[in-house]
Amino acid sequence: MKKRKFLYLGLLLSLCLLVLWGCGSSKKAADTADKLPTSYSQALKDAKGKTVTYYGYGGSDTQNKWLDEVVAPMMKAKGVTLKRVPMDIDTILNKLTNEKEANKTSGNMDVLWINGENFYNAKKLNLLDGPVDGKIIPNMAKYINSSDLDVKKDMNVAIDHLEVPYGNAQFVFVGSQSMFNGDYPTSAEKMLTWAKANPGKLTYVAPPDFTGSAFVRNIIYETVGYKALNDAPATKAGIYKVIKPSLDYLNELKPYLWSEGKTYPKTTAQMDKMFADHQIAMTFSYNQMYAATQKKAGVFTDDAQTFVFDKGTIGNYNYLAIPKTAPDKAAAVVLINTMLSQKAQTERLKLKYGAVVPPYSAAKMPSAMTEKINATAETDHTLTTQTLADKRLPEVSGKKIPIIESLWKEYVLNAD
Amino acid sequence: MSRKVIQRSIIIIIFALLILMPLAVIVFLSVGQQWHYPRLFPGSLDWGYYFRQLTTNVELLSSLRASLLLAGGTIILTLVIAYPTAIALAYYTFPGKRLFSVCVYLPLIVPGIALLTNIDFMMIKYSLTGTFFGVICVHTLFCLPYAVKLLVDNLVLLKNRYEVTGRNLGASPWQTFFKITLPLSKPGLQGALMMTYIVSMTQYLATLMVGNGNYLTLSVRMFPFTQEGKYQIAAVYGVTFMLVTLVPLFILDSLLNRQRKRG
Amino acid sequence: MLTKKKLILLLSPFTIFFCFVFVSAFIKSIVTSLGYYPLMGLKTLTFKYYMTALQDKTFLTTSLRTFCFALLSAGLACLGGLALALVLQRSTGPVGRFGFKLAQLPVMLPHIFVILALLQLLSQTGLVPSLLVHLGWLKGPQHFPLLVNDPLQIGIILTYLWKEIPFVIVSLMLVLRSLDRRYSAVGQNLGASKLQIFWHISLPMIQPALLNAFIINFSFNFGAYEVPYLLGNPRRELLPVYIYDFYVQGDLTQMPLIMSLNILLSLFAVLCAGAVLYLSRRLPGGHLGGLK
Repeated sequence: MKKRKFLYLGLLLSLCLLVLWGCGSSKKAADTADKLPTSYSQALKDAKGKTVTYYGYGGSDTQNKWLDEVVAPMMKAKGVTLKRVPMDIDTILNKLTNEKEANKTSGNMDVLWINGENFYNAKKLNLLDGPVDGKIIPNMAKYINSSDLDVKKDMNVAIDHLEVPYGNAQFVFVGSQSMFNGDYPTSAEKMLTWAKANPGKLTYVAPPDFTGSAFVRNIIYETVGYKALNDAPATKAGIYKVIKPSLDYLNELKPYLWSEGKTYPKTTAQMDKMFADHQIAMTFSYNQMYAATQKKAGVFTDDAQTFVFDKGTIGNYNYLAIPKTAPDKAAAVVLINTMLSQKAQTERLKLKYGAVVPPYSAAKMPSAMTEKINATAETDHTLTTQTLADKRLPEVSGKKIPIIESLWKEYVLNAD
Repeated sequence: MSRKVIQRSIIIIIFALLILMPLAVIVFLSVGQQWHYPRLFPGSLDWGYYFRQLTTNVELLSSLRASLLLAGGTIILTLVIAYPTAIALAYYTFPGKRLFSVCVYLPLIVPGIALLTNIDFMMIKYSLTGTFFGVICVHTLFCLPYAVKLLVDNLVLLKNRYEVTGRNLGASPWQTFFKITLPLSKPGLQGALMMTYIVSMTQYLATLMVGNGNYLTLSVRMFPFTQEGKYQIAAVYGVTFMLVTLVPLFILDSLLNRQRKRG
Repeated sequence: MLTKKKLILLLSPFTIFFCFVFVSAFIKSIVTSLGYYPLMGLKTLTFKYYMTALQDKTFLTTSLRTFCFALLSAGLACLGGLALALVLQRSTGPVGRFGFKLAQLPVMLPHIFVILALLQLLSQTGLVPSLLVHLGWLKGPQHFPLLVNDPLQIGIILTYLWKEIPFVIVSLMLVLRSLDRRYSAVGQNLGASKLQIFWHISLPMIQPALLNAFIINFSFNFGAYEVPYLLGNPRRELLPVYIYDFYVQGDLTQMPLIMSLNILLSLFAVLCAGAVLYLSRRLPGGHLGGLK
């Protein structure tokens, strides 16, 4: 009797293995991949009556509202239904990788929000379709110079027409006017001096948080410069050698941080709360208009002032991409073009939609938009387009970011 | 009242306060404005904020429907699987039983992301990704440990003495099951059902990944906000979530209680 | 009547389902962890990833820390839950009934709410420090001990306790309610002391349920990632966060290593759960676990 039971279990297990193995060897999939349209007019025609899915981070309510209230009706007018799926990029890549490994040619996602490290990985795995360029996206040709650095490279990885920029981001600091007395630490050096005089009033989000990691990179730019980091080989030893002074700087700063640097906030939200409660004097964000949107949300007050380092801060773009397995590429192209349109981007500058600066090239930006951004700078304590453009520094390769994060963990976080 | 009774009541009241305090904070967070240090209470209460959020979130109803649909399917599948398993674990001895019991808990132990990545891969292979059945399968996997545990705890106490008596009195196995085992395991079943409902409602990554984004449940919509730390919006969703999980469960609970009293 | 045939019938739904959803995925993890990952061109089976993992000092200390942490928090939850369940069982009045109803609340709410509330209450500018400052018991918020992202993981433990003590209460109350009170009455008549009644009569009856609850809590505390991710101390990471950070770096060539780490983590936890089950059989009342 005992034997039969084991036999039975064994049988089931082997059946299971068989299924697994059988699946693994079924190389040919029945469905075929959809193709990119050849022109925008063709895309418009093909997309009519279809549903297009947008997969992207869903934690930004302002961005969600923009898609739901501005982009979706614009799409509706073109006869396309927009479905927004809140999925973070890690999960998206996970799914796309799984689909590829399982040899599936048609999936669920039409348009993705992607950038930086994730683009590097997606490109390496050949997950994205192209070329998505000015030829099929007329608004890209109209507003964005194809020679712009950010159209050619995303975190130093050649884009090769696999991504389209749709939002502009730049690292900015938000400081408390009363705590800094209007004299903001606009360089790493000033920041250290201020911290020594006011211990416990500064902190930063621990990497690998996206924004915390950008803070550390900004400090590296300040202490050794962008070029040195960009030229360094993408190995642990190579980067360590170059950024040693930056790690030393962070270690010097450490005892003067909140909690004497024994712990760090884990999310920007925590840091924002500490800032709003005046426990710390400074927070930071990748959204240039952060002080304004947070003021509108009732979190920050007029005390919150935006500033950047004199030598500049890191800027990058948000991008859209179409995966190879997109079920409806014509509709995807229509969606991307709509999101890039002047109408959608103008609406997006409103505080309730997150006040995101358009990805348009400076020379091609409609003047109404420039004026609007500059007006916000006065009333809501953000910065003008000119200042932002002047103080903008490029990102380094996405490949180097995890290395920097692990070096920070080893030599700063766990230094003693 | 004796001193003992008062002591016990005090303990229970402290316990109740500790439980209710976080809930109260969340409710206030969802309607409070300008709640900064060192204020003990929000600067102003805006009850409209909660309702405005609800009404402007057009997708709330559809996500509620998706949540309930999946929870319903998961409850059926879970109970169908968990009940026989619990009977076997409670009443039978067999070789490898301990290993089997540990297996039941395995889905809780294996780290979620790695497991889900691979489950998603298998589901793509089975062509179940994005389907209703695929999603409830994964929900069920995470509900089973709780359901089996609650049922076993309950069944072990009943043991098989009643069944044996019933069978000795000439009842057929099916009669014994429906007239004796099933009614007696009602508290266990009720507990298992509630736990399954809750666990299914709170599944985030499983729903999102295996569901391919086809099932945008309440959790799927809510979690990005809590991760981002949009405390107020998260609290709005939190209160909604509490309402939709607690109200049905308490209705069910009181219905079952009334039935029990009557029966 | 308790035939093998019937047993097989009873076990088959779970077994089939489990193999279909879980075992297949688990086998896939094992295969990947052994270095077979064709997507990245890795096709040779090797144990080297396990060796790397086991030689990784951070991984080992993190594992040990996580183990102690999970054991402590699950143990505290069981003790607290047991004590409160006994109190609740004895309070038959409206207060007791109300208490039991309340105990069901936390079981039904996801961890993320507790995190949300805890951050609002216990961070240094939270409500509790504010209250203490208002009362004059505390000079300033910076004197309030760090309870969130603290090195002793107090924030995480509090979150788990808030969820798990009620879970223990609920699962024990189900058992305690169906307990035959006559046993304790007989004991009392025979002159047994309260402690004796508890030790020899009540505890053996609830012990299996208690240990089952312990295993569930322990497994969860060992493997769950979201609470330590938000409330943990970056310097004293717990294993799930350590593995998650690896995972989101998105370096797929690391996949076999990540899977090895996951499998080792599962293995640790299974061994612990097995040990507890084994212990449960040796303790008074173990025979009631159905292991006749």
